[in-house]
Amino acid sequence: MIARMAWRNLWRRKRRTLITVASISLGLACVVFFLSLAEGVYAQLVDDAVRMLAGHVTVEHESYRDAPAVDLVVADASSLRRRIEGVEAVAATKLLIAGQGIARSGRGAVGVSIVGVEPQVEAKTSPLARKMIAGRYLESGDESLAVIGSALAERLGLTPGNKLVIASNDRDGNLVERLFRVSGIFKTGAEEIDGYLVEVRLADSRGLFGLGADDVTQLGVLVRPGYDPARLREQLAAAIGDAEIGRLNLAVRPWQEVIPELAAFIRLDRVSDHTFQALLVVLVLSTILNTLVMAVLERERELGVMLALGTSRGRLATLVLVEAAILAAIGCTAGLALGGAVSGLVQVYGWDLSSLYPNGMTLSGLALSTTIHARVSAHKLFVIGALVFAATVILALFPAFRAARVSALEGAR
Amino acid sequence: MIRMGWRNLWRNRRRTALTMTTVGFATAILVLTQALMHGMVEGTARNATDTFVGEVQVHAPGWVTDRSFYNSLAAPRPVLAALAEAGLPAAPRAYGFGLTARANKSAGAMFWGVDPAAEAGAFDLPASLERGSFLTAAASREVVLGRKLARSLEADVGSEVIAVVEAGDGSIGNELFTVVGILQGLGETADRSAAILHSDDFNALFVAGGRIHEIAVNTRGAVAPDRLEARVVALARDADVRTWRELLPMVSDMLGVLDASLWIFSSVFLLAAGLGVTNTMLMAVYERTHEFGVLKALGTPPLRIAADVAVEALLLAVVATGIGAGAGTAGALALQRWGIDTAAWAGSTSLAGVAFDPIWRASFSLGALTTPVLTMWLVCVLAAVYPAASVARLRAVEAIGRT
Repeated sequence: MIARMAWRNLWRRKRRTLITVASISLGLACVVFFLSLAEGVYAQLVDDAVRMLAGHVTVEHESYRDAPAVDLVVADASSLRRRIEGVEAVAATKLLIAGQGIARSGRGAVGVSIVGVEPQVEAKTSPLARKMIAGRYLESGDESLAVIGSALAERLGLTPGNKLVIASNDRDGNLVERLFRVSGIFKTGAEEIDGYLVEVRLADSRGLFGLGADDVTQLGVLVRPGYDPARLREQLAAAIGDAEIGRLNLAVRPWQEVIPELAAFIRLDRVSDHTFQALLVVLVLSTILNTLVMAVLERERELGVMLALGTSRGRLATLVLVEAAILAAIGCTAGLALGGAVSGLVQVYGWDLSSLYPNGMTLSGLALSTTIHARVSAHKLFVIGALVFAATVILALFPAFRAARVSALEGAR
Repeated sequence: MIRMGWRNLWRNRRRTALTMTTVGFATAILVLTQALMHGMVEGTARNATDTFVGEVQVHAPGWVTDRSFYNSLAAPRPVLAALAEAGLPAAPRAYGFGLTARANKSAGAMFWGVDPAAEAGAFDLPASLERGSFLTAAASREVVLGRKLARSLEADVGSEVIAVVEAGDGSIGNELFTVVGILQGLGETADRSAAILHSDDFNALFVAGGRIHEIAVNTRGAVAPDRLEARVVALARDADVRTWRELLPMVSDMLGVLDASLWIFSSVFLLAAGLGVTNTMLMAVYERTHEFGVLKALGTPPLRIAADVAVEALLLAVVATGIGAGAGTAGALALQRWGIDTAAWAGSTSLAGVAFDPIWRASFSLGALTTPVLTMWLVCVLAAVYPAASVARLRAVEAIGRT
């Protein structure tokens, strides 16, 4: 009965109801859209970074993170790889040898990261292979070839075909040097990568650092789309087995531990995003409260008449609450639908910002694609919708109490 | 007419108060978000310049592309003296490449020769340490290492490292230094290569004879960027003067991206606030349909009704935005003073070579009030005049009949 009355009351003031619903739903849609957009950017950043670096989950020597040195290796990499590739959620595995050294040319010397990779695996997984601006990426037969970043190439005055010497310490601490020829030059837009990364074949890096034929410093694992990267770590640890982890002194780390700067940046950015979104929700709620209060004040006469006719005060309050709940339910549903639909479109088709950023975008030292894709999470949508709905109903308690206190005399006047 | 509008507003106190609350609240939120957004952009710029880059740098011509040890400033001392006289804080630096080694680890390093007192006067560098302390005022063979360089050398505070360099006279410079501090994350270049020495130690190691490659000027925002650049150019003739935006193009671009996304954000806020206020004004005016009908029956022309309502709406908006702007300003100033500590959620962050201050401060300027206040005025008047005009066109009888 009350529900029906509330429904009718709302439609007696069609214009007001529609305006209120519109302001709830547009506000909510904006929040949903921005949240999805931000999550999409984060997901892309993380995806690019883990593909270029050491995967969603990295298997390495337990002490490597504290003091990265090439003597802290993962031995028996191929048998580990077979075990890991048996896990359903694994899309690909990559073997890496990452060490530090100095790259030298006739023009100067720069301290660099030397990373040994499997060219055929990287070509399929890493965005780096698609960011070549000169020459070509490594191929499996490329003995003593290296790809370097554009900033490094500029500083050392190198072009494809030129020679560079890489000096480093091998696993026993001896100073070693090796001559490489530049195969190609990549440009990601990120200083950390373009200025300091040298990629060579895995076999060449083993030779340089004096490592065994089955040694790597990292075994990176990429998650299959649709599987949860957060759960992959445990699945891998289980697949490798405690005995093997103990025997080889392994650590199985999520990307957040391997690239803590990126994880910290995303957390920082979320803080500011959530602050703005919270302010936006507060703004929307304040106008909703205003509408509800006004709707009661305007109808004091009508409510007074109802009271005089014997309607209990409790029922009057409930009536106002139910009206608010209906408004909120329609507004939230419409808002989520609108926000979700727009985000969904941007998730599928992407939003091309290249006209806004002709020079490309970088965030946290990683180059971003100028076409951004949103990422809609049903879970987050539901939480925000429920939050706004609950907040509206709680705010409606004010006008509901107000309605319960009208005097019957008011109605008679 | 204004007085009449004012009286009209107070005839229905509750409605006016309610409408004012909404408008005022929306204004306050807008002012606050504007200040938070400006604070974010300015904070990023501050972070980029205050650690060690500075707002303007002076080099020998060609240094930026070819950082040769021999390409130093021709006459750095008069420039430094002139900067000091002009009251512009500045720090002179010399750079040289070499090797650092400890036990069986070695790594390439960029040695910086700095004047600890000048660095402390102009920059946050001496305080930007993860562990240990900065160089003491007198040279005593101490070194402060970049974070990743220290990790590659497995060096900690108290460790001794050997420096091997090619000195300015062609000989091999060779010296033992004690690590006194490790820098916090200051971006990739500094993290993996910085080995900071006292300028006297640097001169001895490199036989540099007081060479200066860079003078970094930093007023911490006290002088506007364009004016600062012009003043430094006037002081340092024959040298290459560059602003931080030219030196850190990536950070500058990133600020552009940030600026653009905040601009989108603030339009969404204006839209949401505008909608809310429109809603409120529409309701407040439609409620008075009956009253307008009576006015019309008494022979008031429709234009006059609309004008009256517009004046009322403007009065209401002026008072409400005044209160709202006051509240928003107070909030913004509080956030400027104390800031929001993001460290609890995010820890410390470095991004594209800039170490971030974990305290997010608002930045308030009177100019930030203009957009929110004017938008609110415009929205209030339009949202009041439109319904008033449509009601005023009705026939008096119809209008009176409506409740």
